[in-house]
Amino acid sequence: MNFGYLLVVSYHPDIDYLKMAYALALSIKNTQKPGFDKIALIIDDKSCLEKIKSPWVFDHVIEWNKETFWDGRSWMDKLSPWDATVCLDVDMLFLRDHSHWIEYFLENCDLYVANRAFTYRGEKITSDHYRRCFTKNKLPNLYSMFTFFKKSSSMAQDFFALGRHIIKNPKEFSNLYLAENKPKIVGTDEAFALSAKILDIQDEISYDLEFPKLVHMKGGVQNWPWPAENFTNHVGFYLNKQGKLKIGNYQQYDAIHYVEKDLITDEIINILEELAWKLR
Amino acid sequence: MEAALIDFNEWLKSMPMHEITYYAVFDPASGEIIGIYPNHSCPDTNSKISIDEDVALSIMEGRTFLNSYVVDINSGNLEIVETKSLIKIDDVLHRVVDQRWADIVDFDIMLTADLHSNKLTIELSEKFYQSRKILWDGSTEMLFLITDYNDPNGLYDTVAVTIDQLFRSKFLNYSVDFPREFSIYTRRVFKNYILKNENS
Repeated sequence: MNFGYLLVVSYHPDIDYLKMAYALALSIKNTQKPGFDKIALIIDDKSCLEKIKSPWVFDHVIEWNKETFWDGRSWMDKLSPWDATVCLDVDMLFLRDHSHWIEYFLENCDLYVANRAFTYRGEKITSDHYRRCFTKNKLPNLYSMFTFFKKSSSMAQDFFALGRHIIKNPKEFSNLYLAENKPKIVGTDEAFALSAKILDIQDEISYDLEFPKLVHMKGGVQNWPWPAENFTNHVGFYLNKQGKLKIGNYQQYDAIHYVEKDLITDEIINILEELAWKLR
Repeated sequence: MEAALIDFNEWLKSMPMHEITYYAVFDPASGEIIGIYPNHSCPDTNSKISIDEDVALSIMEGRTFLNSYVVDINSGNLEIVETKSLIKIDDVLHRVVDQRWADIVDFDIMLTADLHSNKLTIELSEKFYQSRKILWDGSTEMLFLITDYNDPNGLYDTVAVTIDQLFRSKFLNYSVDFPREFSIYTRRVFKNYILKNENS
């Protein structure tokens, strides 16, 4: 069974999703063991790859333009070229080897969606600042930023099919199932959580595990005693030339979901590229 | 002999009228306005800028708020701003970006690092010598922290410079013990800092 990561991007006038996907792909190549470092990119315009220096970090590039932005991720089961896949949000970075997570998922799961996240200080996020819809409507606390699935799994196929249906019909599903707190946008997180709830599979696809450990850098959930939107207004983001990351004065070891779309500078790309070139 | 009494209205017309100019006194570090004064009662300070009468009267009469304005230290203009309560980490710990990665075309402070001779040169932009609109509080101190590459937690050396020193000399050279890979952090007194690494 072959395994790989799946990243989905599309053109946006103000946000360079490809640059973020490229940084994530470089960080995966720099940290994951051979066999656990394959990456497929779904992109709406392949010609955009000409602007990056090392397109070889993407083992598969698939041109697909049926959906835009996050909606595309709900098609991950149809688009992935791998037998087993982890689909990631592109605004993430890997900092150490997580292949042992994947070995567990390959052995034990057909479908697993992350269900917890941590602050940069390692505290479990309990605030529902951005997730009132989840708590008010008693949705399972799923984070689609890390979704493992096997293509052959019928449960996964049903789960994603319903997720797509929810994203296509947000008003109907909001009125029926999210009446206690209707989200402005039914995104992938809401759609996946609702899909799991309707299919009653949340305990099968999101039970307690020590991993995946994901650091979520939305400002409002960092347990700071002041309101915050952008974390970079409050703490620094320091990536050194060895690819080690500190946020403030906290060394980071787990996968980072940095959220802020302009965080990846050309300098950060250069650091990650040089590390990847040395390993190659 | 009886002196001729001048007609009062004629006398008033002939009186030379002193034009009042208004000044905003500001904090040279942040650009925040401290007070608005007419020229005859303005405190003796270098950190002041002449402003329009309309703006001055509007503030004095309470039609607009003092903290709705800030001096843009780069342009030398008084600008209306939104009230800013947030101090960003970048305001107090700003990483000076290497010119290879910076999109700054018009720097305020240029730092040139020569690792072979362990020399750091600090340069104030030419534009500040051409503009006389802003008078600096020259005692404002700028601290440059020489740290690990992209990590202010590892501090190697510190260089302190006042604006007066820079203004007088244009270039200042310091002996600095650079690590092999380094970054420079500073409090953001000016807007645009740039680093030129002679050895990269």
